[in-house]
Amino acid sequence: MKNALNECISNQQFIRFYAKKGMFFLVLLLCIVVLILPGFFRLQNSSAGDDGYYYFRIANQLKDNTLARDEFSFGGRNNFLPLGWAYILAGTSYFSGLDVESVSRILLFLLGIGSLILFYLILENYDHNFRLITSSILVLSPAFIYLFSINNRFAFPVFLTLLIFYLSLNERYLLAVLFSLLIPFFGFLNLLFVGLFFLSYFFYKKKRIFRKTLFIFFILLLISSFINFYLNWVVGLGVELSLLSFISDFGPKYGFSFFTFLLVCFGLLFFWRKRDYAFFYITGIILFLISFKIDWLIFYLNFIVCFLAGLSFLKLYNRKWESSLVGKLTLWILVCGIVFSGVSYLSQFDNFKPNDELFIALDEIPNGAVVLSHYSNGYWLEYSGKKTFMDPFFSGVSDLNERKKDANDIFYSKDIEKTKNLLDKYNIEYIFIDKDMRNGKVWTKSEEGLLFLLEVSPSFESIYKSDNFMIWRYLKENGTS
Amino acid sequence: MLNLKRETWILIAIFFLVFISRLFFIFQSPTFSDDSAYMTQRYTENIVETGESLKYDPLSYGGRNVIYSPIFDYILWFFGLFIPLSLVFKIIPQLFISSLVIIVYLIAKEVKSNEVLALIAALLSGFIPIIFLETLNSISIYSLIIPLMFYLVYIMIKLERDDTLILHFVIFSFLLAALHPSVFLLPLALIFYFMFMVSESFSVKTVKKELMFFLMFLVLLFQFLIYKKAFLEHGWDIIWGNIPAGYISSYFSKVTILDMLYKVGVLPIVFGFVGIITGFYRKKENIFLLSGVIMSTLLLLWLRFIEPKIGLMFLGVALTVVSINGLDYFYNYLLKTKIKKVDKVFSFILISGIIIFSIIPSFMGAYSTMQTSQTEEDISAMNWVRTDSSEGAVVLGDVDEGSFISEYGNRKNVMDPNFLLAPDASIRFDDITTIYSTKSETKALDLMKKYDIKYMYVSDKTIEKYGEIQYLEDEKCFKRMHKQPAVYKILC
Repeated sequence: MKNALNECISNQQFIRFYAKKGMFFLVLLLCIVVLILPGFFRLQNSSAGDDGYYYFRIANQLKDNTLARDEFSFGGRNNFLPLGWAYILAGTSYFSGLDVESVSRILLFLLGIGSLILFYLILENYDHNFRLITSSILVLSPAFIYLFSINNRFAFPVFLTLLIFYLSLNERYLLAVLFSLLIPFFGFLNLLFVGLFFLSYFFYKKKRIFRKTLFIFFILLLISSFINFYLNWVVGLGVELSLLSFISDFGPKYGFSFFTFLLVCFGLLFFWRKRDYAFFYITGIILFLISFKIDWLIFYLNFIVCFLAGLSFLKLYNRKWESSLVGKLTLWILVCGIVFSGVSYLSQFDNFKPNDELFIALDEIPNGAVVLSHYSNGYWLEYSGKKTFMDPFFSGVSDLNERKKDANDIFYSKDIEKTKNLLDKYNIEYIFIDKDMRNGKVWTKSEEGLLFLLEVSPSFESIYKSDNFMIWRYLKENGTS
Repeated sequence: MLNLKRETWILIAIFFLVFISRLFFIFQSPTFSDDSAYMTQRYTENIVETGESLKYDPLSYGGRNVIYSPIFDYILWFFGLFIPLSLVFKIIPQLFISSLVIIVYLIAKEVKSNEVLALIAALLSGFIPIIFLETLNSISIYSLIIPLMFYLVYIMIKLERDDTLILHFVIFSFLLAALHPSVFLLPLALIFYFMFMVSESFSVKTVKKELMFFLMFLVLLFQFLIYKKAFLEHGWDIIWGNIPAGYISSYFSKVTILDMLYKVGVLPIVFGFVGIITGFYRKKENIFLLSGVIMSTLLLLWLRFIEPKIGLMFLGVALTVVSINGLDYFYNYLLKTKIKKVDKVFSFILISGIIIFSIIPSFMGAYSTMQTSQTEEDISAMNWVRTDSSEGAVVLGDVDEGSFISEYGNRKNVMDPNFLLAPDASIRFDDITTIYSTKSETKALDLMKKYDIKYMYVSDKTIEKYGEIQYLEDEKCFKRMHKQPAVYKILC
């Protein structure tokens, strides 16, 4: 009788165990769907993203063994962004025989799945419902979707950070140290912020290994400095953000869901007295503030935001509502809000730049020609084989301020001689103008500065014109470009 | 005969007084005084014809996608099932806004258990000049939003004693949240209320806190669902609804104290502020809630996040309700003086005040509002456009006549006041201003070509605004097709 009862209990436990695991598999399935969907939503053949194209280009060059110096950025330069990701793309592409773009898609997908599993495992000591809720919020967060669907240099270090954190929590320090040796290949700032996070976490939670971590951190910083110096890599800063750039629902290319952000803010009301969560709130606030200057920290911050949003949601879920109707409706509204943000973000993928027409237009320009455009178009121009006057990779450019000033003079001056002198100075042969440049990014009026000169001066010849793009050839004195 | 209390009969009388006064004015004109009314009319007619709300408007801005909440149009359509649509547009908004007197009466009774003062508040609310004028002879969505919002405020007050109203709150919250972005004001008001309560060390009933969270999330979700595309397109600027730079100054004009006194009325403002002060002094929870509405409106007005006329409407109602606290204070003060027959003196002052500062300004304003509506001649010009102009042609009119052209002329306009997601709204506004005000015929013709304009409508209002347009005398390029008001065919 007792045996039968025990068997029955163990069967129940077994079923419960698998039911719990089954729920996580549903989250995993959701993650797979979410990471596959951008491919379906994006009808363009070209991949979305901007700095991803820098890595596509460099990876292709690495694969072909032609990377001695960057011939395209700023008309030619000797330094690079941290190239860890480009080496991974090139290496995998070389051994698999697949093209760099496909390799990037596959690797990002796998890294996304891996990161979700690691995040779930890191939360091992928390309530099972909490882990499921938090993982689901993470999967539907626009920053996560962007990170693991659009080529970028942060996906791998984010995955590595999660892996090292998980290994450290499980006291597998040797493995953690081994993996941390890879971090310096993904940029000095990456290492700095990840290291500082680990140091503060260990100082707060595991004081006995703090000193060792500090020692390893310094060694890694030395390695990173050595790599940067030896390989000519510069510190890749980010873009400055405004407050609304953090919320993807307001239009930036990545950010948090508005409802997730709201949950975190409400969490402050619930948890401000609880010491347990103070570390995450303080870390979150510090990262949030630094993200105003370095945009890519959002990818790291996103994990903390989802964790805190999960806490708030669980608090609301477990709360004894005076009106159960209002309670249920409020929770459903929150769920709908979070899902809605994720789904609507996915549906925007087709609108993400660049579109296919851009590369069709750029085919009109011969490879190797120097092209003037807004710097934000730089990586796409370089990917299609054109030299740029400027691109978004500003670090390590000695004459950056002069170029910025000259670019302004070219864009806004109506003095043809001055414009021609500046174009000659940088050997600019083509001018590429997109719709955004005409609609406020550079000009606000149709006859402003260079736009006026292009229309009236015989020194410019239109070679491509559509609603979205215009390309002009600059004819030098002898009539050739 | 219904067995109703005397106060109820008086309340019904006040309701009919307000409703009939409104009907008296609106039936003096077959048209509306506000161009956006024609847009609502057209969108509702589309629901009647197709059963669906309009997603692509082929006539607005020469054809464009529109985003808006169609709930109000569906409500009008629903009434249209029982009475002719032309009557629905005229009567139903007036019925909605007239119901405000009943809601104000109910709230006032909760604030101060004094039937007479509650009836006075109801009467005052029926003749708040800004509400009377802005919702008169137009199909204004605010005629529904304002009563609904204050009904929710009433439930919030009632919840202190009666939990059965939770379901009412939930149902009406769904309706309100789906109606219009201006409903953000209510969650904000509840946050202020919460802050006042905490600052005075009062505890807020748990169910009220829950409803506050619920409403806030609900409003955010609905507005994100409806206006997602606009959020992505305009970002933060969605608050100003893509209003052209040249037009924004007339939208967000500064609100002066004198403006407030005239548009809201002297009595609500004077006694309203006295009511707030005494309410805070006596720590009355209901006054905290109404002060929340007032504070949130003032904050949004100060930040220029809400159109002054809209803000003043909400402010007017909230101050009217709170003013009974002030009136009560004033009455008690009179009792302490040596004035004889205090009741009669108080009643005389009050009734005179309501007539002088609320009813007369409302009626005078209503008279001038009716003068601004389109005339029979305007309709005849549009009838010509509808029947004799070429199908699909673009007809130029001033911005505030765009929807009128589309509704009555059934032709494409260059621009109308529905700016959200409108293509190049600022550029179009500048171009229209240039066409009507320039002396250069070439410049005007260039711009007309840009928008493929085939006809130009020059109403008396347009001439009043821009002056005579001299280049129209060139008969080679402009042929007058309709005499008064003028419709020109562009020949060049």
